[in-house]
Amino acid sequence: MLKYTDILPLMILLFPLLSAISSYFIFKKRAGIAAVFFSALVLVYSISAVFFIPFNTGFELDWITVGNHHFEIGLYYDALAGLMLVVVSIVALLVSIFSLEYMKHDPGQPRYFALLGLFAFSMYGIVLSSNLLLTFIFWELVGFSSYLLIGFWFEKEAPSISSLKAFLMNKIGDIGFLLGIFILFAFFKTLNIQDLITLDPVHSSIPGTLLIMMGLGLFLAAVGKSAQFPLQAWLPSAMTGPTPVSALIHAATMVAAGVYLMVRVFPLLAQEVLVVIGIVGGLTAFMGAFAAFAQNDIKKVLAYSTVSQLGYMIMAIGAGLPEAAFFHLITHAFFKAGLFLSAGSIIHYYHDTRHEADFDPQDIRNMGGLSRVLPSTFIAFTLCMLSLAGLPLFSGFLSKELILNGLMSADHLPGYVVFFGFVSVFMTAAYMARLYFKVFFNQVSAGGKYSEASMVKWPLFCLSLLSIAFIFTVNPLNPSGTWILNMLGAVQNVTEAQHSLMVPILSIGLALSGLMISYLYVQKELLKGPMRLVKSMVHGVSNNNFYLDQMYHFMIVEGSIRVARLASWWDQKVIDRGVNYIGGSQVVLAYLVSWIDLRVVDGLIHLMTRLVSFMGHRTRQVQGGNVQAYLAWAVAGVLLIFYFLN
Amino acid sequence: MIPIEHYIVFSAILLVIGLMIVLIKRNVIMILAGIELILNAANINLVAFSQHDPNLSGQMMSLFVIVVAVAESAVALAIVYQIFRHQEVSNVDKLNELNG
Repeated sequence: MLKYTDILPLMILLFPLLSAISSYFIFKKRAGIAAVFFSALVLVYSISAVFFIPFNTGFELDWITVGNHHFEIGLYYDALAGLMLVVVSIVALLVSIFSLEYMKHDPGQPRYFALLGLFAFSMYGIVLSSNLLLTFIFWELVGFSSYLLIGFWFEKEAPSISSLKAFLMNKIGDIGFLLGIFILFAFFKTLNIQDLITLDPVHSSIPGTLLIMMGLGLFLAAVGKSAQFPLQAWLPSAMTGPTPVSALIHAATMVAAGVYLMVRVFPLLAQEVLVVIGIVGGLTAFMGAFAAFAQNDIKKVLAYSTVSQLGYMIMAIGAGLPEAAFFHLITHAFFKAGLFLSAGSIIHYYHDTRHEADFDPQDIRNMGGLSRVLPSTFIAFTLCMLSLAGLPLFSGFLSKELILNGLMSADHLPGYVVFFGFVSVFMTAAYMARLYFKVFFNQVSAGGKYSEASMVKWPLFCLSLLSIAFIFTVNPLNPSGTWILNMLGAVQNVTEAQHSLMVPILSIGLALSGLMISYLYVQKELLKGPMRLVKSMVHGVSNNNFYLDQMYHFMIVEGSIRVARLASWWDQKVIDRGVNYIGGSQVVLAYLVSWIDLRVVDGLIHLMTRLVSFMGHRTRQVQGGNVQAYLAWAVAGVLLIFYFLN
Repeated sequence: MIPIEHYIVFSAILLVIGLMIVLIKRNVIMILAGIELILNAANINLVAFSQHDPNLSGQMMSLFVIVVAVAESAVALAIVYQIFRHQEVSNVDKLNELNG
């Protein structure tokens, strides 16, 4: 039954839905205000939940009973869910406030804020769900609301295509999720995550191949949702949605849902699966960082950066440190949302000041010198960028150190994963610095006087504040001292992994050299020679994200078209021909039958009618009105009588 | 004395001739003449058989037949004449005014 402690999570879950319904149907013009109000309410509730609700509580309700099988739905509240709720609700509130300014000229505001509410509802559902079936339902719902928000400007061509792309690629992951659910249910007859962890599948009697398949299936779900290799191509395309949506869904929360799921089901994953997870994460981190170099769209750079950072989190899962992955998820949510909102602020500025038809407000080649025009954005971007690059005193440093330490101590992962991890640190710093110097320095951009709206400033201020290390720990150089790990009860786990002083020194050195190289190249215009050489070799690969899209186009799209052509050929040449033959033979048969009808059946009938008409004609003659004939007949009759009388 | 068979044969021939005329001829007047022949064939029979009858009632009967035949043919001829006057035909096949 419902206890009073279950009411609060239920309210956190249902308020966004209420917000969605009311902002679409009731408030309309003031939809934004309603969304901000409900988001603030949810934030207050989720913070108070941390203090007032005991961890590891929840409830289950019977949902469907089929034969002996019971499917339950329920909520489960623990430290992980509590922290995630706070993170999501903070970002959601700030993004809603930012959207008030960003979307103020858009006629689709009620729809926009309703979709944000729907998304928040589904996201809280994933966070709070106590079993995998309910998680799957909300998993689909976040995918659906993400689809709707990517295609928010569906009148344009690109958003509708990329929303479909995101949806389809997520569906591939969902197949894996279903597979994992099927295997778990087949063997353990329950989908409750805590029950499954108690049953301990890794050490149970379940066959090894199925255990690995189950783990890989659940991981495939995370691959789709968190844009890991080889499905990461949807996330950069998803940048066609409104920028605040990119900040909320495609940077901070929904893409992190895959990581969250991995953290949740971590005890169910076998060692072999962890190796695969680590390798995929490393590859993704490297590929994302690499592809970010040659992008000219400010949002695309950030999207590839998100892909890369998600790769870090997945790598941490693979290294056996879900707490580190979750910590990076939290820090990344704040600084990446900050970066995206900064990008939104820049795009908003160009929207307001430049009205040329062919002007692309997202192209960094058109930008420059914005540090003087948008000072608040500049400061926020600087702080968030340094956090992303992983410099000390910033939150990114803490979580990245944890992950790199974990990688160093994870013996089961191949060596190149660790290499990917460190190289990506360097590349992250380098591509972010390239973006930073191109956008905020160099030549002064044209444009009149402009001041950022307070609804832009405050979210940026909050997010950059949350990117500072002191929010998470008192000692910014010691990542294991953070209160988040304390809350998760994972300090022991993490300190065991940490053993090398070389790791922070190496990563700081790499990050600084990345920043320096980009500074020299972009700002001071040095190193032209070697850069041109590098550019000529890898620019195409980086700009096209390793030609993944082209490969998918060639393999999937062209392949489907080829299969369709083959099917059409088969249809036309074989099936249609067969049908034609059957039709032709039917016609021949029909002719035959018609001949029999005409000649034999009709002939018989005609013969009978002729006979009858002939006889009628004959007998008619007797009474033809010819008196002499009557008389003749009478005479004949008399003669007959006489003949028979004798 | 002429034997009775001759009378009978003669009257039979006369009857058949009359019958044939009535059946074959198209002209109304000829049909009436055929009827006269049939009546006279009957008369001959009456007269022939009455030779053996002292009462002579057969001959009386034949006289009566002659009278009736005269009257009959007078009426019939009058009708034929009237028909001819109105319709200008004397052919029985074309006399179909009363044909239902």
